Amino acid sequence: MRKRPGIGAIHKQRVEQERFRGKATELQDNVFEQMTNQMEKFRTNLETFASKHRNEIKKNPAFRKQFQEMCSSIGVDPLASSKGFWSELLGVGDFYYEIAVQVIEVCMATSQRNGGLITLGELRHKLIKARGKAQHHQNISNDDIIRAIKKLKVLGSGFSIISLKDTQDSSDVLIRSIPGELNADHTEVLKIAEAQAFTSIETMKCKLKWDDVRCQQIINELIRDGVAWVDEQSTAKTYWFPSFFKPLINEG
Amino acid sequence: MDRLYFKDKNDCSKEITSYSHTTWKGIRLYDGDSKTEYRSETAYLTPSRLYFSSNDRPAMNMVLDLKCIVLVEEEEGSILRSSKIILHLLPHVSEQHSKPYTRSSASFIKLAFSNGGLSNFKICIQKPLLERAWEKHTESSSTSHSVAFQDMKNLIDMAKDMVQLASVMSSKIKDRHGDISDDETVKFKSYLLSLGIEDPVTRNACSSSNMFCQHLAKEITTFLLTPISDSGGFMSLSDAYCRVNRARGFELLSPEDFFQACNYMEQLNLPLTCRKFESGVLVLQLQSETNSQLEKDTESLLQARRKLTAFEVSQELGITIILAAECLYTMERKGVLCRDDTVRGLVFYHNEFSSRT
Repeated sequence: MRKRPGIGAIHKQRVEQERFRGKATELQDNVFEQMTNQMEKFRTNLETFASKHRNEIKKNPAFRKQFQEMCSSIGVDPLASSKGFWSELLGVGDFYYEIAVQVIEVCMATSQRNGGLITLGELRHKLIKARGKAQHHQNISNDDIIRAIKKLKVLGSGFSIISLKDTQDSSDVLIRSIPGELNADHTEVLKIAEAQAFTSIETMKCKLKWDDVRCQQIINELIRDGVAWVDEQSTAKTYWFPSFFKPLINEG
Repeated sequence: MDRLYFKDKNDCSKEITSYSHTTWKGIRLYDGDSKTEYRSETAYLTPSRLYFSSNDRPAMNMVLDLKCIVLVEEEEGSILRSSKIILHLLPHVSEQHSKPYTRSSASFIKLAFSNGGLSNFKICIQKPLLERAWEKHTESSSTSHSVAFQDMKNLIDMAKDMVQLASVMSSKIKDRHGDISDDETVKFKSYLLSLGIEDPVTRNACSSSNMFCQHLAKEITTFLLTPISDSGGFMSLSDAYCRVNRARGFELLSPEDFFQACNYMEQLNLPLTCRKFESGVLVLQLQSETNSQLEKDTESLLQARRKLTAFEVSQELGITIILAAECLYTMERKGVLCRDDTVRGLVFYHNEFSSRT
């Protein structure tokens, strides 16, 4: 008679599984020990780096940018948590979070005038004015501001970054600080209005090749949102965009 | 196995004689879990490399740069299998050398010590991995900027290894759900947070074990309870964020930390809670505040004025425009209000249609 697998075989299999599981826990201990050692070593290295270069990070926008890019290339976000190594030991956190707070304040102060749409250039100008006189307070770059704004998305206030052109020029990037979306049509109108801060239906028809109805519809939506203002006193109605007004030199 | 490459024995001899004090005989190499035909007569360990002499190519050594090693493990053997050392390696990078294996699908190799020396190897390899001598050979440059840049590069390289290590561990945790202790998972999560590594494990960072998050939630509530009560029982999250950070002055909170802490308030039964409107707007509101109070106030305002804009509501009730708008939208959805949407702006009226049918 053929021998069939019996109780003995099942029992043996169970014993094997138990042993393997035991092994797994053992492997785990060793692995965690290694990770702990590595973390300690890394922390020490970071402390050394910080003591040597902390000021460089604070003062030099190019160095900061390099740092940020290197971090993202390896899948690390130094701004994710204020309890992270980068924040605690290197102080990058405070630098960017302070910018974030100031961005919110500037946007809140100007949204009545520009419908919650501000150019990166104007934003930076206002931020620099609001900050202290020390060099490192003045030396913030567009890159710094954009990174801080990207972190603000999680707070649900509708911060979004709109590029009017493919360049990174500060006047070609708009920051929207209220919820709601600008669709592609709205963005097209903004693009043609940017240079002179105003446009008209005729200009829109000519440059965008739209019909009357579409032009009027889109411009009405922009007016309703407070982004565009109507000037009825000109012979043909013109529409002005405070977002593109250049900051006044003697503005108080 | 595709991380090993061939090097002429003559080129290796100087490093080996200067630095290698222990040798191992008869190591068998495994590509992942598969045995290869390589059985090294002698293996040498230096501060930067592991050399294997091979019988089939007597003039060459096989070399593994130690900087490729992410993690060292021991695999315990059984009656049928010997114990082995597992070396987890960084992914393949295209290099110019000639290699025993051009492509391998495994991210680790194993070493079997048929002539013994495994425990000794395990001890000996830890030192060079901690010291990372391969990072120290760069010349110090004259300008401080290049020193700073080089230091930064070294630091980031080390962080890169940590990320790789974390990813190895993350997949182990996923593979062995029941066998991981809570302690170890908590510790691992905290490592990921410290490094700023994005991982599904850390996404809901706030939990009963995260004391920082809990502490924050309570601190924020204590600080904002009065201001929020004074401004109609609601405050937008970004407004709250500004106030809290302004008050702190330094050791500012990241938006993510703030967000996590606010989301945790309800679980802790705190008097404030975080709420999301349909538009995506987030607010902190008093637990006791149902919308009814704000809506009642808006309703009375409407009675007095017949029509309302968000701006008017925000002025009269002392809340932000966004919040005022949300309140009006909510009332509209309930059928209490009707909108009149024109170029002049968005105005709300009492919904006469429903009350007159």
